[in-house]
Amino acid sequence: MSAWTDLGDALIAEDALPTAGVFFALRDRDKANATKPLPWPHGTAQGNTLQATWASLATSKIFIPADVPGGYHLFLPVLCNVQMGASQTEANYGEVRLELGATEGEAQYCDWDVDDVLVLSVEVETSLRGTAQTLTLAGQVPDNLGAGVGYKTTLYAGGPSDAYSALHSIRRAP
Amino acid sequence: MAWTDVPDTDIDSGSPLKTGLMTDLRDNDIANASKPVYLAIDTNKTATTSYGAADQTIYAYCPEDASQLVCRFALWTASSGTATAKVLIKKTTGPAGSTYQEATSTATAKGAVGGSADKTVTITGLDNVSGDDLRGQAVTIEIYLKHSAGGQRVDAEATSWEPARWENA
Repeated sequence: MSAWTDLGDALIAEDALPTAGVFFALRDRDKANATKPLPWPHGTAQGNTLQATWASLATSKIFIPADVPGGYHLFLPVLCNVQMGASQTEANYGEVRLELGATEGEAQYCDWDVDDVLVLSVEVETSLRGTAQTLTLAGQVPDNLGAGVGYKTTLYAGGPSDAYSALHSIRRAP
Repeated sequence: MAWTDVPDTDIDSGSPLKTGLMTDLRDNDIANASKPVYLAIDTNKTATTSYGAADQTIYAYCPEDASQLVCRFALWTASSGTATAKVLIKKTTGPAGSTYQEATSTATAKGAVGGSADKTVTITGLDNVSGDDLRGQAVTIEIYLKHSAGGQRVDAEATSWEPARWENA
């Protein structure tokens, strides 16, 4: 991420034409200014019994601002916890990711029987500008191969708490 | 800072851009750089005369163009004396330091927006907090409470107040 550039009057000499550097500075500032905090009320954690395929844990609708620059991502903090079935002796781990429209975000690891707060992200494709999109929180448990009763692993995920709601934003990818 | 209208007629066809136009563009950019953020300030305790551990912790993202945080909330005490709240901000990961502002109140009830409990703190200098540039970073905001007499209940709450905001001042 590039640093925000302070654009002082001194960059524009009196009666002189603006230099290329000024335009670069303005463009960079414009991108910096496009960061959009998206206050997000936390919801109850949704659980789903999962196997080694991606499945939806929760969905919501979100409006994508019309001026989101290319390469921006939507960030959403989530709280995850994996609970293994009653008969299992081997701890499972889970993975969670965001899906925005048809775009899949990078999966993050979620521990067994531990409340993990993860900040997930997914790229906001420029084709989504100005549209309402479905934001999906998806999960899977890759090593949960036993499908029988007692081998089912449940992954819970949801908004962690109000304390994290201000992390939710559309911003330049780090 | 007031937002400056830049009409198309300021740019004559075939003419070079002028210093004044660039200044207008900059001013527009700065005026446009106020971003509301929901900081769920809601904490209370029987406070002593000095701050203890943080009474509430909130995580947020500081926009790249934010130079200050304006935070508004109600602050009151159930008894006489002065309630004080400290709003502290620092980088979440590897902070070199922190900066804060305090608000004081002698209100004995939350009251209404605009009443005596209505407080606003402005934390400036987010580009250099003990050497940390908080812009574009995940930040931790902590709320601390104390009371002039000690042993008295102090409340800080932003539930029905207007949101806090990041600003480019």
